[in-house]
Amino acid sequence: MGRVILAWLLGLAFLTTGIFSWLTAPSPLGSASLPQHTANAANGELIYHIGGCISCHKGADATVPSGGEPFKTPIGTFYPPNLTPDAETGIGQWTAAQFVNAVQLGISPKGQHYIPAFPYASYHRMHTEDVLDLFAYLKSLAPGASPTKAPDVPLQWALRPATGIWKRFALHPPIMDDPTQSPAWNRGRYLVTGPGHCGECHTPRNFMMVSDETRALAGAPHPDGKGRVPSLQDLIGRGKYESVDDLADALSLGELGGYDRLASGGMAEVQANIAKLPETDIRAIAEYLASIK
Amino acid sequence: MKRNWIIGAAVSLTMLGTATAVMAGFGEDREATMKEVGKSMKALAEIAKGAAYDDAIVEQNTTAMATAFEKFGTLFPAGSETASKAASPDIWANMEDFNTLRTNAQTAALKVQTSGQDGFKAAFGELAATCKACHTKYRLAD
Repeated sequence: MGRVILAWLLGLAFLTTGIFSWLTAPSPLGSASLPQHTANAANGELIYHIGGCISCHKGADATVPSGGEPFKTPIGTFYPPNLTPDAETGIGQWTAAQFVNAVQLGISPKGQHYIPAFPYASYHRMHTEDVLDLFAYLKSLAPGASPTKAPDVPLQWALRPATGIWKRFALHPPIMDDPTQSPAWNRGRYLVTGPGHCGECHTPRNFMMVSDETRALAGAPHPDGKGRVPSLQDLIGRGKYESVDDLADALSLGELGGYDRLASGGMAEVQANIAKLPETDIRAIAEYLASIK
Repeated sequence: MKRNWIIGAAVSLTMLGTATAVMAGFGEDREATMKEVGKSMKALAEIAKGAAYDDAIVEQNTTAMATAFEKFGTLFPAGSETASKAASPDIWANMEDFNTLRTNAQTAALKVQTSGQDGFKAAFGELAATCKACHTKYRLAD
């Protein structure tokens, strides 16, 4: 009798472990699943700016994405990695597939889940071609060495597998164009919700820390723990901006155009990144944002 | 005795009410003053974006801004921390720094005034940077 129970318990343990690893294990893409694409580094630079990569991955020189500067979050401090093509500490030896897995699936080249301080749930919406272009742009930068430093985050042994389960709910499906809307609106939606990852701060999260898309861009508690990130809904109806053009000017000029709302809570850096986009893209972002009621 | 108590309470309440109203007044005054600054910046931005350079417009708006920044020195007294939503409580914890940023903006506005047509764009950029420096630290989202 005792043996039977023991066998049952062992079986149960194996089964639980099996289900657990099936639920939490990363499943990266292989190179064969990448689209056929000739990389365009100029488009990659655009994606780099709308993604605001520099804001978190800045190095000791704040204009170079060589990483290593502390990035504080409520769960601990991260030292975002080096995005320059340095062979030792950067992405110099990465393959395109490894880069796509990192950016869109949150899986490191070593096969670990990235903790989603890295906003890959939004990047999962992106066209993989744009991610490949971004890779080409980063590869074209001058390599910069940087000290690599493990995140100062407690309980990572539990957080990383938990991230595996979280991803099953949190990764946003890729975006399809809405044929009833203008090309500019579709472009704006893509930039805002995909590479721009505006919803990471402006959309509230549910109890599982998954973005609540029924309240997209409705405003949320600030990730720093102090104050609120404002709602982006009905910006014109609520009198925050006069028109789509006014909003586009605010995004591209900030204080240079006499606008004072785009500097608080970390938005100053975001606005500076957006200002580097082509005018048509900034107008597209404004057009999409203005349509959110 | 009882009457004294009632009078005392009434006086305290009136004083409290007045104090609250005065503090709220600081909030309204800040917002109205900042709105004027925004209007001046927009007028100057038109020139930076390519409208014809006009000495009168530059003089008028930079003077208005320098005056506004002077006035800001009186609009954040102790006790008025909650009078407006966009003012960060960090202002009162770092009043010296806040005042430095305020006078930087004032100096930059006066520099735009004397920059002349050739130096306008650069001086205007520096002025905008002083606005942003202060907003980044001390302006909350609304």
